[in-house]
Amino acid sequence: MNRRRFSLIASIVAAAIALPVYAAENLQLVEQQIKAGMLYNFLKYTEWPAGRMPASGEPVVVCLLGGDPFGGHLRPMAGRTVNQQTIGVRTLPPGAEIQDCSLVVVHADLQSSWPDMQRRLAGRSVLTVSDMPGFASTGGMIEFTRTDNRIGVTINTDSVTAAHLVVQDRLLRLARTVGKTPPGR
Amino acid sequence: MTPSSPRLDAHAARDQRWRKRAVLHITTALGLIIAAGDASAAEVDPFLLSPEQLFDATVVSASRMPERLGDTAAAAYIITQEDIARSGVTNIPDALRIVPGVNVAQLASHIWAISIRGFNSFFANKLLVMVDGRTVYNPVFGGVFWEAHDLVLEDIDRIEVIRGPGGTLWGANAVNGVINIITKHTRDTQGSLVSAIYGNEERGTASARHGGAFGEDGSYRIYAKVLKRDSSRQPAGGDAYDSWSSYRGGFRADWGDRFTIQGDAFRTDADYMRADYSLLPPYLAVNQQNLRYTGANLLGRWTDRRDDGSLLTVQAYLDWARRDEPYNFIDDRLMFDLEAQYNMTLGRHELVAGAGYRYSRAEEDNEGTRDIFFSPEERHDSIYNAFLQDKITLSPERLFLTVGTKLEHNPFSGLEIQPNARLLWQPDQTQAIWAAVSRAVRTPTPLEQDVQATLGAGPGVQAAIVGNKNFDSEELTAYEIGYRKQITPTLSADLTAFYNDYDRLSTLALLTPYPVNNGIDPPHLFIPVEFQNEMTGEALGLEASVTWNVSANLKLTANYSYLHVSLRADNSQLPQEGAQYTNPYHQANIRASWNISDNWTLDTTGYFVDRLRANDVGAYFRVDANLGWRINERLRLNLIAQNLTDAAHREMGPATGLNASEVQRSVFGRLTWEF
Repeated sequence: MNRRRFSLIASIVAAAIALPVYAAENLQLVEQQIKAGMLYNFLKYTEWPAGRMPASGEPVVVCLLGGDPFGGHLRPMAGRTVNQQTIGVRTLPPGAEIQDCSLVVVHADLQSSWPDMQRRLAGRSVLTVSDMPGFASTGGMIEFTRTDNRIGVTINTDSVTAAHLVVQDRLLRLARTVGKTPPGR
Repeated sequence: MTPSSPRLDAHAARDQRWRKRAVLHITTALGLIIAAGDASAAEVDPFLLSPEQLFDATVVSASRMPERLGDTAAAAYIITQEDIARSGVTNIPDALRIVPGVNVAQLASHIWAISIRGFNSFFANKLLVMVDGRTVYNPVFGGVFWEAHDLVLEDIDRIEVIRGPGGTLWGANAVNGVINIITKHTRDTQGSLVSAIYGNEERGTASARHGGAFGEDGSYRIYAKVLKRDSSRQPAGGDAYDSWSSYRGGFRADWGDRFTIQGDAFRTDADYMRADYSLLPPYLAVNQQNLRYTGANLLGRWTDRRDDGSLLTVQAYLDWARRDEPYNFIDDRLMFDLEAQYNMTLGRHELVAGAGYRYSRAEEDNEGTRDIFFSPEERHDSIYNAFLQDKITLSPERLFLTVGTKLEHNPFSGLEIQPNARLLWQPDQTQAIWAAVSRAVRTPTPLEQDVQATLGAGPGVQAAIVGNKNFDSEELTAYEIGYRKQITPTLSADLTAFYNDYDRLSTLALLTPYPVNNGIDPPHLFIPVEFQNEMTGEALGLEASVTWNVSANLKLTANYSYLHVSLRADNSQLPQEGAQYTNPYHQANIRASWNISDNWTLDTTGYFVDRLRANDVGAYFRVDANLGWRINERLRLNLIAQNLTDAAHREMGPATGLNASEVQRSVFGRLTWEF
């Protein structure tokens, strides 16, 4: 191929790359974006027992235990408000103290230490979320699932109730539930 | 080792001008893309969507930024299992053709020359290739015999291709890049799979795999594969005598994510034609030979994830292989490798530290009439290494500095130090800019230090390579800059530019000829030739990659790379600069993956590879197509055509003593049954 012709092609390629291309917006999102959006809605549609939520003025803290499974897509949630409270997002190492967390996202890599972690969480009003397979059926509260190209969630109503949390019907209707407790109110 | 002609010197002046223009293009393209980033489409804000909208949203493939490599300050490209399955390729070299900056040239049905960022040849040696953490380049010459790595493609999880030096983490030979082939965890290969391939060139390939579970969280798989491939065609027409058959079997078992043990054994038999020189008439004969390559390996890996977030990995493997090329050489080699790596976070510091030991026992057989003699015939080598790398968070989630170095001691060149420094800036979650400076070395091999190898012979004269114990490492200092951008949720771009500064590159030097009258050979003049480190040079390049998920059913990927290598060996008596002409200046490809309906798919890939001035190999287009039909839940049928538009073409010139044949059009069916 001669060089002049290449120059022309290179310019066209460069221009083509540079053109802002708008995809048809039929709500196609990257998996982690959908999950990030859902996580925000978990905060919005879950009720914590009185006194277990941070005082007004204090942020409600979401903790990413063992790493960020959202590929950075959760970062823009920090600083936003949910039910009149500011949201804080923290990434914590696997063994870290989770005292201030209202919601803990357990990294899928922590499967082997999950039973231990569960013991540490017992009796606390902390909403637990993970995309670890089998999370909801092994005592976790909300598990992300993927069927073909849609994201779903499985909610363990027993675990939620045991932590004195209430997940509202609007979420439960969309989710698959496991557990004996009749879902929601 | 490709001869260059004086004619090529005339190109030098033009090259100079062209290089300036290329720099201009790179700068313009970078500028345009950054500008486009600023003007990108308003993105969907997932936090403003209702639960109903989110549950109804469809997933597009994650961006080209993979979770781990996306955050690294390096040029990385991931070939996923989906890419492999949908491209219709039947081997790893063909899968690598899509990666920008990688040049794949097929020399025979079982021989590939593969390199990253230049210096491609059958002897390409500036590349590190690993299969599940096991180094697979052949220590005799530092290159890879690709036919020995004919894995069950369905069991590959991904192939990570890192362009540019990886010496700090991976060690010697990771000069121009690292190819990391990673197979699936056995919990992802449960059940049975049988696949069969048959066509005009693929003369019957079958793979079978069975996976199961044991204990609390254990899982395993066993597999076998046979392959038969037809011979290709000589450039002048006629059969190239290079048919190939291969047998492979192996297993892998995992105990959760804590412990892995895996092993593999193979045998390949291949025909090839080689030029044999002799001091006796007819002096030069092209002979048909059959080479046999056998090998086996066993690897164990233990991972301990501590509650404080630290991670300890210990890995050991044994690898044995024997390559028998009649009248050329026999290399019988056993390697033992032990490595430990520790990852931990200390405040703003993410530390990776490691150490490794490798023992290698080589037995070279000098018996019989062979072209290559090893001295010594038997070697026992120990290589030690230690490395430390620190990723420092300068500004949380925004700015990171990575510094590190590797120390490695080998018996050929002694202590080697391979440091690097990398800066990563993520202005927001949609874009990343990085820059890196690194040093890497390609350590000497027995080919340069131990070998006597005939280059040519005629009446009363013989020229041969003689080992040079003073041959030292080839050195690279690389400067890289890169930019990644998620332009819209469905469109992403990745751009890298680099400048490589090479020193002490390998050259051939003529030593003083002397007469030989040993009573065995006819009396003759012997011309010794040895490897020296007399060349310097630069490489300048650009690599661009764009992925656009047009809709849930259509995905487009386009890649482009530009490379200009210029070399100088001013003090050498022989022309050496040929290596700068063994790579295409331009390579580009585009792939469309289309889900026609629930059960039908069509994937088409077009490749353009610029001409090689060495041996005057012409530019070529290659078009591959794969029509897939899911007959039912368990059965899939694919009709695949490679080189659709071209009956046959050559991809590289002949190597020393080795014929280069043409790649032919290949049409085949593939049936995959999962149960």
